[in-house]
Amino acid sequence: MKHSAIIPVLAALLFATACTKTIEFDGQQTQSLPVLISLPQSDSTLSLRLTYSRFFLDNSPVTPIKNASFRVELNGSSPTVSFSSQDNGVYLSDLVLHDNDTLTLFISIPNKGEISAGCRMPFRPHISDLATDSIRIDSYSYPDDPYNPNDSTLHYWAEGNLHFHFTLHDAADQDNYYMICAYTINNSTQYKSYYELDIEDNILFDNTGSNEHIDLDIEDDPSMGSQIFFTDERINGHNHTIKGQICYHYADLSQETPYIEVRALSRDTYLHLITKNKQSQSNDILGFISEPVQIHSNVHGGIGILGAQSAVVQPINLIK
Amino acid sequence: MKRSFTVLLMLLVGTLCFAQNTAKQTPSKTITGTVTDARTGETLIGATIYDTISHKGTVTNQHGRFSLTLPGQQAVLRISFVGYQMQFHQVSLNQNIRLNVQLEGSTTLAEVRIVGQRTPHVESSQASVIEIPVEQVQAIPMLFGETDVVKAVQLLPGVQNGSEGTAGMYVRGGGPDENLFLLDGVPMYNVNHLGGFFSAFNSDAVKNIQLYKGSFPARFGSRLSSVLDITTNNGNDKELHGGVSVGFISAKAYLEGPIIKEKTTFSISARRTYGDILAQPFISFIAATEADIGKINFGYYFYDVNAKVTHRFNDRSRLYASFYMGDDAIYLRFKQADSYMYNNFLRFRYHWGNIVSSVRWNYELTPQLFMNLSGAFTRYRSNLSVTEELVNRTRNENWYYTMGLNSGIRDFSTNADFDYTPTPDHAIKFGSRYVFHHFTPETTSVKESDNDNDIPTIDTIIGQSNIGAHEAMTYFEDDWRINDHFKVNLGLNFTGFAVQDKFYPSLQPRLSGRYLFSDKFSAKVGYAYMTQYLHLLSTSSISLPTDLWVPVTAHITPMNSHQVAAGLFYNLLDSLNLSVEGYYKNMDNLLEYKDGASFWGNSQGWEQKVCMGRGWAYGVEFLAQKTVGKLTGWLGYTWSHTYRLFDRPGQELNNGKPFPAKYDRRHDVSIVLTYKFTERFDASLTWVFSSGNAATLALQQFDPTMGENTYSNTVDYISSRNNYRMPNYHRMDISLNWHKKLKHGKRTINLSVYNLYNHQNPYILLTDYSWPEGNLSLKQLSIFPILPTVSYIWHL
Repeated sequence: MKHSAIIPVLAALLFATACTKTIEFDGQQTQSLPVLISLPQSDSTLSLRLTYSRFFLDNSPVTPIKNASFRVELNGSSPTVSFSSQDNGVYLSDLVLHDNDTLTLFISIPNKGEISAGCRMPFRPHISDLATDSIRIDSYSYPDDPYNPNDSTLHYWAEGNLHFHFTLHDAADQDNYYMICAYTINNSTQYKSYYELDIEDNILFDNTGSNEHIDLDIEDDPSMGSQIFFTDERINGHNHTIKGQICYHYADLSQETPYIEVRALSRDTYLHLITKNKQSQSNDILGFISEPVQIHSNVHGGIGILGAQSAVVQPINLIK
Repeated sequence: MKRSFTVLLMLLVGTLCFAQNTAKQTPSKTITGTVTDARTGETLIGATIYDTISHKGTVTNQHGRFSLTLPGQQAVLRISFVGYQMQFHQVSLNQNIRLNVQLEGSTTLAEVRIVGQRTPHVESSQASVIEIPVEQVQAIPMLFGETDVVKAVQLLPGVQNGSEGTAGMYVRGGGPDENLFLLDGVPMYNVNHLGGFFSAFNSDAVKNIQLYKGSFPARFGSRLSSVLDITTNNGNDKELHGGVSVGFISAKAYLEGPIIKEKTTFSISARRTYGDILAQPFISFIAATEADIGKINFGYYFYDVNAKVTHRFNDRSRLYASFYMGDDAIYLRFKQADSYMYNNFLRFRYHWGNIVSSVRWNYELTPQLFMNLSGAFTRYRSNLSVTEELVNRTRNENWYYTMGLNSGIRDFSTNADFDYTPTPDHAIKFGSRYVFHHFTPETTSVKESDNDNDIPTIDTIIGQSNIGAHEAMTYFEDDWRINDHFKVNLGLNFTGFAVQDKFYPSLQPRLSGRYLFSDKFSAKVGYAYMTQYLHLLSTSSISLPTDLWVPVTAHITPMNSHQVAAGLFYNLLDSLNLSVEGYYKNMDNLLEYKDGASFWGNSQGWEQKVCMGRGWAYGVEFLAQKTVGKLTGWLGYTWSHTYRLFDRPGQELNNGKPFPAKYDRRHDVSIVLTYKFTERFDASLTWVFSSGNAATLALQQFDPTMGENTYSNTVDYISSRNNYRMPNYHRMDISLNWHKKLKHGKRTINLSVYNLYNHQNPYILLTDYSWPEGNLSLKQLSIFPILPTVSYIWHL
């Protein structure tokens, strides 16, 4: 219930007398736009996806763009890059990108003309001194498990929150954008499960409201979540110690290995990802009252993102 | 800063000396007095006093008082006021004279042609000012039959409402927080009931309504877009008088009369909605028949009370004490003992409202100098509280949770205002004001306890601390009749605002001028620079109690605007006021919520949720207003554009490009007609048309993934803010009144029909998914279909 009760109460008052009717859409721009999605990482090959956007009253699946042709400019030269396409609009290339590479893509789409986008690969972030606080680890075996009666494997369970800290060495004289996340990779399926993070940092996030961890229904705190975004606006060129905690909630460490990942993002990537997250949040319960969110795009002639990111990943070693 | 004070002081002293010198040039005497209604003793604001010999005149001020200094030996004064029989008084000017005039009301608003008289509409030096007779407001058909001052004002050109039925006002491209609502000279912060569907002003208590849309006189400040100056009744000083009205959703009553005859009067009016009371038996019945519901009680109500006491010490001195209190409340109480082992208890209450109170003392220092001292307190607050309790009956366990969300603003203010009329050619006003603002932007208190030790007890208060701010204003203005053709109103307003160790001074020049082509035709121009130190953080189009009043801070700088307006004013056949006005307004430091932000969630301070930008608006307004005769009303038309631009680094909206404001409407038409067929029957009609509101629609959707998901995972692509136009809005309302004289008093039966031809007007747009067909369609939500209502009104 809590204070979000006002929303249904007000909504009920409003809708009690309301009626709806279908109206004709009376506007322009019903034509689909080409969509480019690509978030390449340093030292990885370039891949991208091309689809068409769909009109908002059209419920059909998005259509992949096939037979697109590419022209690539990399650091001022025009290398020959081969692209192979898949059915879902994904194009895989043989171009490997590295830190500080400047890439511009020109894509010719049949009957739609050309779209273009550019990016510069950020330098890999430099972090050090990653350390964790102690956490209670319990071990259990389940000899009576009805689904696995003969299993005598010892399971290690982490209980509570894992506090960590590391030092981020921010490069001076440039605007840097970062994202922190933490996840485990399932040893058998290799599937990533992201943890909820809580970064305790009043310099990066300037929480003039509160840092109290109260169970409000809707949380708009940028320092909490599975992906934490921030800029170096307040720490430019400095070594900054970031403290946080991973909300574990009984993770089975016998099956999973936890990692912390820090990504440097290009400005466009940063804006694209945070606006995408914001839109997702505001489309939930807050859709009725919050301002609409425009997802950042850097594609000329179309929409989408040609992003760039460089990541460092460090495992968290826990004593079992 | 020092220079600003010097300029203001020089202007004040210079004009006073000039005016004094002008006054001394010819021997002259001053006639002072008040103009009142002969039946009720109520002072009349804006009555005209005109000397037919010297052709000089003046009008009564907010307190019904006038001062007219005339040369010569004799004067023949013509005293007139719309709806009252004109009077002539011949006076000898051998000494200063006191003349208190009591005007008899006309039985009808007769169309009396007064040769050679200029109507205030043509004569006044100020453009962009409209006065609405209260009788006309009370005759306008309204939602649920509830007459509403703010909704009547929304029918004027240049003023737009927000969404259907709401009391939010958008004046010449400004926001809803840019309007200064004055109740007996004291600002009121929240003027809405029921989310804005009704205004907080009870029309039974109102005597005079004046709207300033531009060319603001220097005595007004602290808002960018408009001033709605509402004066309440002083009370009948002859006899006890009252009335009761029972409407569709509310009942109201008023009573006024003398405490000491012709000396001390009182006026009190109150209203309350009663839907919650009527519904309670049904709620209890349903709860009793459904075993698992338990005991439940919920509802909504609002009430307001206006009270005023006036004491006349003598002809030179009066004391007024006025009080307003209004509250809205939503509540829910739920108690249940389940069949298993738990007792559940839930209590929810959300209430919000105003208190406005003031004490004023009028004193005539000299026949030419009138003083008004006042002290006032105004408060708006909203409070939400939720309490939940869960008790395990079989074990000694209970869980308890309570949360409170508070916000509000409190003002303590003092005013000293002076009217100085040295000659009929100068009407000088000067004064000063000090306000201490106390803001509570948002605080949340949470308490949780559980006697099961696994869950820790929480007892904390979070949110921003209170903010105190000091606002001081001094002003000077002179309504100066230069010659028979030219009249100007020159003014300066100097305001300073101190908050969080920051001081924001603002020197605001005001200028308006009139050129009279003939007694019936004038042209006017005006310029006003305005500064505003408060913001209302409001997300949606309807007025929510969660809207927060916040001050400028060390980071959020004051809003300001420059507005120029020019217009032509014509009086046709002494009964029809015609005007056409154009305006251009530039606004800076406007606040908007950032993309995705809302008032909800308090982990970030409000300053992090908003961005600053600018806006501009321009338009043309046409008004034809008829205030006398059997047929009264007006026709208004507005053509306008309103834009916003938020392009400051880090604060961009719409990618830093201009976008139309939410209420940028190209055309607005309103027709308001009241016709008095007989003494026993009259009827009113309103018709409104406006271009559709701007809305933001994501016209395209795209898949932001690399195709790793097999299911559809699309996001919205919004090309720009407010990129779509809702369908046009139009609606017709009628109101029929049958009056009958009773043995005691008079009764009126009112039939109002809101949205007569049941047009489904857009409120919000939605996309609708039909299942199992799987089709998407665009739907509009309309909230008010045809709504007939009947009210019974009894006047003593």
